[in-house]
Amino acid sequence: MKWWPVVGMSKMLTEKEKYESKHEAQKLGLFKRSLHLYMIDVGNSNQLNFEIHALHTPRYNIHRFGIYFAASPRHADLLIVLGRPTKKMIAPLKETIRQLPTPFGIMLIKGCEETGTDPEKLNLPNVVAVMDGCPTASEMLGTLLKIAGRTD
Amino acid sequence: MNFMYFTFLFFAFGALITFWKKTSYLMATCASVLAFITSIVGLNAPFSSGIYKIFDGFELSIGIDHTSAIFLLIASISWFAITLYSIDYGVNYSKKMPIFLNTAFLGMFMVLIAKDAITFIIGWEIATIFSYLLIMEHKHSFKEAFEFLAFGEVSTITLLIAFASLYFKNHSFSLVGVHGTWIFLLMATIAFMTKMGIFPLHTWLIGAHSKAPSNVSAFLSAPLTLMGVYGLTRALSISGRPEWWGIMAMVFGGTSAFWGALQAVAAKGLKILPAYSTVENDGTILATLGLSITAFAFHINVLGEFAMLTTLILTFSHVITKTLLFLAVGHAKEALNEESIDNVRGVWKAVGKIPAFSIVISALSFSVFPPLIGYVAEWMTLETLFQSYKIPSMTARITAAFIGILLALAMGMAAFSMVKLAGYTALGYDHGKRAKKIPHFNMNLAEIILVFVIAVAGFLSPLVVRFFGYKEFLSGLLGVPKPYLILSSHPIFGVVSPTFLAVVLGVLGVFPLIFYLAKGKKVKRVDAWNGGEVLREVEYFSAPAYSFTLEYILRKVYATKEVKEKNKRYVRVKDVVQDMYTGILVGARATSLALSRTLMNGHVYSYILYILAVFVLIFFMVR
Repeated sequence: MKWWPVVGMSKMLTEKEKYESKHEAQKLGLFKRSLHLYMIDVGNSNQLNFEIHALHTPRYNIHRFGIYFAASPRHADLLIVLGRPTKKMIAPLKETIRQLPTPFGIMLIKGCEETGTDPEKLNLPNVVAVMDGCPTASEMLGTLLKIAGRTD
Repeated sequence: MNFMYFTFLFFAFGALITFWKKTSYLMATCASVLAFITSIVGLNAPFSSGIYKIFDGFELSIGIDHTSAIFLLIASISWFAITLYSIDYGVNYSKKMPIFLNTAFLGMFMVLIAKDAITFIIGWEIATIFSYLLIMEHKHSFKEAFEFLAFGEVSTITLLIAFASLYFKNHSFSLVGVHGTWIFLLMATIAFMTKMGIFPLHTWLIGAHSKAPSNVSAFLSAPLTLMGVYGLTRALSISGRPEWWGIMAMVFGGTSAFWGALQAVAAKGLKILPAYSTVENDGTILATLGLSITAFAFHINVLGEFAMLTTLILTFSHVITKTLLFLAVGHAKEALNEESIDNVRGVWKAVGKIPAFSIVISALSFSVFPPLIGYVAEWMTLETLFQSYKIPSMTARITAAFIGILLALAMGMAAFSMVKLAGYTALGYDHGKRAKKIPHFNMNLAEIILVFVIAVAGFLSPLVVRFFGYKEFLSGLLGVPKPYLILSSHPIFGVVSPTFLAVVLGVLGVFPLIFYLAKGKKVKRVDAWNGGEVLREVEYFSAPAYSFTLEYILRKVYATKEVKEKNKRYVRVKDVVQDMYTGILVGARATSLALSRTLMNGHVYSYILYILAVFVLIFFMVR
C-alpha cells in the first residue's frame, strides 16, 4: 500500500499552488458554490483569449471549483468582457448585458492594448471586478475565486 | 307582437336615412334590440300573425314559434354587436353600406319569422344579394363576391326546387303543418349546406369572408351561417327524421369539421383562419344535428334531445364567439392595415388592450377553455358522440364512432390554430408599428359586450339550457345545487357544471393571484438571443414556421410546395377542393367557347329578336 492515497492526491497536487490576484473583486453573494460564466471578446489582441482558454486545461481545471462556461448569456451569472470595446462591439455588448438574467455581475479584463474605448466609461451595470494590464490565467482564476467567494 | 313590426320598421328606416351614416347604423342597433325583445316574447308565447291572402291558395304569413325564437335570440345578439361596431367602422366605407347592411339584416329577419315558403325565399334572396353588395364594398373583391353570389344562387335554386316539391305534395306554400318528401329534404339540405359552407361546398366562404369588410365578415360568418342551421331544423321538422339523413349529415359534418380545422392550421391570412374555423364549427354543428336525427329515427329520445341541445349550444357558441373574433381581428386589421397573421403582431401594444383581450377570449373559447361557452359546447359534442353506442343500427354506430374520431382531431387542431392566431396577433412580439388613429369607442363597446356574453353564458350555461327549454338535463349531484349541473343522459352518463368550475377556479385563482401580486415578481422581456445582434424582421419565429411542421408531415394532404422566386422563398399550401372548382370553371369556359363558335356564331341582335319572337308566340299560345 502506497502512502499517498491516505493523505489524498488532490490535496497533495492542487493546493500546493495559491491562485492570488492583486485586483479588487466584489463577492457575488447570492451564489453559494458555483459560478457560470459567459465570455464576450469585444476587441482584444487574442492574448486574453488564450489565457481564458488555459483555464480549461488540466493545469487549472476550473471545473473542480464549480466554475463553468455557459453557452448563452441567459444561463450565465457573470459576464467576462475581454478587451477594450471597439466601436462596433458596443451595441452587441449592451445587447448581451440586456440578455443576462438578474442578478448578474460583470468582470472587465482590459488587456494591455490602448485601442478602443475604456469599458469603465460605458457605465456598465454591476461591475464586480476590473483587471488592468495583461493578467495571466492564474490571476484570472484568483479573481474568479474571489468573486465566487472561495478564497478562504 | 308589435315588436316584430317595429323591428321591420327600424331596419327599413335605417336603410332609408343612409345619408346620416351613424344614425342609420344606430337604427339597426335599435332594431336588433327590438328583435331580441321579440325573441324573448316569442319564446314565452309563440304567436303567428299577419296572414295576407294574395289570391286563392297563396298567402303570406309571419310569426314566431319556439325554434325561430331561439335562433332569433342568438342572431339578434350578433346583429346588435355588429351594428354597434359599424357605427365607428363604417366611417371608412361609403354611404351605401348602411343600406346594404340594414337590408341584409332585414332579409335574415324575414327568413327567421317566415311561416311560408314565399316569404322565406324572399328573405333568403334579399340576404344573399345584399351580402354580395356588401362584399363588393371592399376594393378588389369582385371575384370573391361573385363566387359568393354563384354559390348563393345554387342554394336559392335548390331551395326553389325543394319548395316546389313541397307545393306539389301539399298544394300550399305554408311551412306549418305540411309534410315533405325525400326530394324536399335532399334539396333543402344541399341549399342550407351551401350556406353553412360544408365540405366540399366551402371554397366560396374562404374568399368571401377574408376579402369582405370586417363587420361584413362577422355577419357572413356568424348570423348568415346560422340561417343555414335554422333552415335545416325547419326542413327536418317538416319532413320527419329519416335515418339516412342523419348518417349523411354526420359524414358531411365530420369531414367538414376535420377539413376546416386542417386548413385553419395552415392558414396564413388574418381572416382566412377564422373563415376556415367557421367551416369547422359548422361541420361540428351538422354532425351533432345528424346524430340527433339518427337517434330520433330509432326512438332514442333522450339522446336525440341531448344532441339537439348540443346543436343549439354549439350554434350559440359559434355565432357569438365568431362574431367577436371577426370584429376584434377586423379592428386590428383596420388599425394596422395589414393582411397576414405575421404582420399584425403586438395588437396589445399597438392597437389596444380591448381588441387583444377579445381575440384571446374568443380564441380560448374556440380552443375549449373552461368555463367559457366553447368548452361547454365541445364537452357536449363529445358526450353526445360517446353515447352513440345506444343506437341499435350498426351502420349508424360505426359512422358515429368514426365521426367522433374526426371531430376529436378537429378539436385538437382547432386549438392549435387558435393558439397560432392569438399567440401571434394579440400576444406576439411587438413590431413597433404605429396604429392608425380610428374612432373606436363603439368598437370597444361591442367587443366588451360580446366578451361579457361569452364569459357569462359559459358559467351560466345551465341557465341557457333551461332557457332553451331543455329542463330535464339539469339536475343536482353531490352538493351541487339543482339547476347548475348539466347531465348528458338518464341514467347519468356524464356531467359538467361550468358554474361550479368557475367558482372553484375563481377561489383557486384569487389566492395565487394575491400571492403573485404581493411578491411583485419581475419578468424581464428580451428578444431571442442572436449572438448579441439585433433581430431582423426575417429572423423572428413566424406564424408560418409555427405550423410548418404539420404542413410538412401532411404534405400529401396540403400539397405543400416550396416556391422559389427571385429573392424570396416561401412555402405554399393549398386547399385541394379548390382545384376541383377550378377544373369545373375551365371546363365550363371551354364548353361555352366551343358552343359559341359552333352554334351561336350569329349577331347578338338576331338572338334578341328570336327571344322576343318566342315570347310573343308563347303569349299567344297560352291565351
